[in-house]
Parts: sequence; C-alpha cells; structure tokens
Amino acid sequence: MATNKRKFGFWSVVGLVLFTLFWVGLLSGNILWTSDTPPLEIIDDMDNQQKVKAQAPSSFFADGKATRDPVEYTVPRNGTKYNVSLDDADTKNINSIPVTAEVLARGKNRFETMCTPCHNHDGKGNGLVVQKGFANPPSLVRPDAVAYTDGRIFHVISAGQNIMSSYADKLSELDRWCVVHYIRVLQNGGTHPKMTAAPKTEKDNQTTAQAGTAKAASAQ
Amino acid sequence: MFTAKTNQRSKTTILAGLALLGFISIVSYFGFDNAVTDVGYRPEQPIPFSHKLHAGELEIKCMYCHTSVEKSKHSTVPATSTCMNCHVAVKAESPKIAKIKESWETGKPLEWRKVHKLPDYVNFSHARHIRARVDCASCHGEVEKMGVVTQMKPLSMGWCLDCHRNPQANVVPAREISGIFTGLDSYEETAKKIKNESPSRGEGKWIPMKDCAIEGAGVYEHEVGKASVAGLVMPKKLALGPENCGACHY
Repeated sequence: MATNKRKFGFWSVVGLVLFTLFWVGLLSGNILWTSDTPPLEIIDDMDNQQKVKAQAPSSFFADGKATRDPVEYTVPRNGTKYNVSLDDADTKNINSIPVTAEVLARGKNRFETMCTPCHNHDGKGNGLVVQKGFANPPSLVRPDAVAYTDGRIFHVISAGQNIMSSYADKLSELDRWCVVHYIRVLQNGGTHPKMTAAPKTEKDNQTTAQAGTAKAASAQ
Repeated sequence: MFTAKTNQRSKTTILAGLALLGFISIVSYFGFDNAVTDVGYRPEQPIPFSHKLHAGELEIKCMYCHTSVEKSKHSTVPATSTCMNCHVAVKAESPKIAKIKESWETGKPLEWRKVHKLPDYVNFSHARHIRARVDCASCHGEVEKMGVVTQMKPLSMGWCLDCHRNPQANVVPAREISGIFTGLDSYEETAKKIKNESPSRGEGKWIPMKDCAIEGAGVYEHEVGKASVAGLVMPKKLALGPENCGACHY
C-alpha cells in the first residue's frame, strides 16, 4: 500500500512538471513548432464562404481559375494599353507630368523597387541580380541614354528591350513617367535639370519659419 | 462488496476525474487560441521559393512582386511572368525552375498555398495599411529572413485591435526592404512619426457615426495626403486605426 502510494505520487509530480513546462512554453507566445497542416477550425462559423475570392481556384470555369483573363482588345479603365512602336516613341510619348517634389519622390521609390535589382541604385548597372547571372544592362547615365528623349525611355520601360521585359503591368503610366523623371535626376547628378530650387528644403524652411513665428507669438 | 480498498479507489477516481476536467478546460481555453492554432503554419509550396534569398540577399523589395498591395485590398501573388523577368536568364536550367517554366509555357498558373488567412467576413484592405506606412512585417513578420514563409502573428481580432488602439508600440514602420512609398518623408522620418506623432487612444479626431443604433460607433478621421499630380499614389497621414465594428465587418 505504502509503495503504491509513493509510485503514484512520483509519477503525478513528473506529469505535473512536464504538463506545466508544456503550457508555459506554449503560452509564452513563441513558436515552438511549425506545421504543414492548415490551422484547426472547430467551429468554422462563416470563415469560409462560398464565393469567388481573389486568385482562388474556381470549379465554375473550365480552366479552374477564378481570376479571369481580360477579353481580347480590352483596355484599362484608367489609361491606355501601350501600343507604340519604337519609331514613334519619340513623337507619340509626350511627357506631360510636371516635375514636382512628390513626382520625384515617387519616381525614386518606384526606381528603387523595380529597377535597382539590375540597374543598381545609381543606374550604372551591375545590380545584385546581375551578379547572380543576369545580363548586365548598359548604364542609364551614359551619354547615349542622356540624349534619349523622355518618350524613348518611356518606351523602353513600357515595352521592354532586349532581355528586359515590359514593366507596363507593374508600373502605371503615371509611375513610368515619374521613373523617367527620376532617371533624369540620376543622369544630372542628383537634381532634375528642370528643377532649379529644391522644394523640399524650401517647404521645410517655411514650416520651421512658421513654427518659429508661432512660438514667438505664443511666448509674447 | 465494499472492501477496504473502495475508499481509496473512489478518492483516486474523483482526483483523476478532476484532473481530466482541468486538462480539458485548459486545452479548450488556451489550445484553440489563434496564437496556438494559427501561428507556426508553414505549408509546403509547389516550388521551394525562398524569400530569404530573393528579398534578404538580393534585396528585391516586397513590392517588386506584390505590386497590387498599395492599390488593392489584396496583395496578389505575382504572375509567372514576374518570375520569368529574371529566370529567363538566371538559373534557367535549374530543376527547381522547371515548374515555373512549364507554367510559363502552358499558361496554367502555379498553385501556391495561402499562408495568412483571415475569415471571409473581415474586409481587410492592404492598400489602406500600406498607405498609412504600416510595414509588411507588422503582420507577416520579417519575411526576408524566412526560407519558407511561416505565419508569425495570430491574425486574431484582439491582435488587430492592439495596433488600432496603440500604434506607437505595435506598428513596425515602413522599411526600405518593403518598398513602401512614404512620400516626401524618408524611412527614418516615417519611423519617427509613427513612434512620436501618431495619436494614442482617445487623441485622434473622432467622428461619431450618425443614426447608428450602436452606442459609441464612429471612425477616426484620416487626412489623406494631397498629390500635386492627380492619380499619384500618396501616403496617408499617420493616424489611429478605427475601432468600430463597421470598419472591418461590412
């Protein structure tokens, strides 16, 4: 009787310790394991509704895709499908986007996102993807490219060139013009040729001046 | 019938029953929490695609592939053509690329498995969060360090509200690797603004909802940045996320 009782006590203590360790580990908020099986849903309420979802499969269509390809000759609702040949690029692509601080900021952001993998941050090529085996693109700041019209650069982004594919699906028309403006900044060594004063510092000066006067006023 | 052991047995039975009940209640209370069931979900994808290599080492921004994230509710998985932008030349003969090539030639999409799933009655918009300069890592963890994408956050409602109520402490500000457009602010300035300037709970401009049966319903007003050119994507002013039910469940 006495030995039985002791055994029972020993195993319950071991069990309790393991049990506590297990839950303390689990509830400490860190992943203790990963799983390939989808999360458990005991009561799935309306979590999974029978509707067409973005990029989901669909049994309704023969090809099994819920996302449909556009019908032939479809044009985007805002903008046009790019359909200009290289010969017409200089004359048909007209850059009507004004050079402003926001446009240049946007151009920089899109350039850093879409172009730097190959063209690098300075536009001279030899980006990180090129180092992995992609063809090295010619420098964007070479005199040849500086002489290109805005329309010609726009054409290269929109239609692609050599091994570079079209970026019309990734960059909207406006974004492409912003990138063109930013390439001019790179070619001109940090400032856009059409922009003499840097508006950002000007604006900053204004706001600091305003804040200064407001502070002075409140002090009085 | 009743031996001397009966007393002992009944005591043991009661104790065991109580222990079992305790175990079941603890498991059902904590065990089915989203943090336990959802976090750590790591499905095997059709292709051993590594974010660690592409985003981490090659520094390709999140938005190079997930382009629709700032314009749409959904952050779309890229089309096969996006993979082929580089893989026409890079490692074109690798057996790991074979499935992409096949998809490229046949036009049949790859069947990626969805990792982060919200219930279908939640209207989560990626664009709103990206334009408020909330980084991808706030909800997805540091994906650029993951070989296989794993769910790192519970994505439960309580967890959503943590950020909506107290963004300074919980939001990861836009980082360079994500490629989020921060307007005229640099990434450092954005981080500073989120830490210092975003209002804490009760400080935002609260617009109560008119003619609503639910007491206390309303929205925090967000000031949208004005672009000098119409159609230009501009980041929103950093502000507190809405807390009323109708903001996400509509």
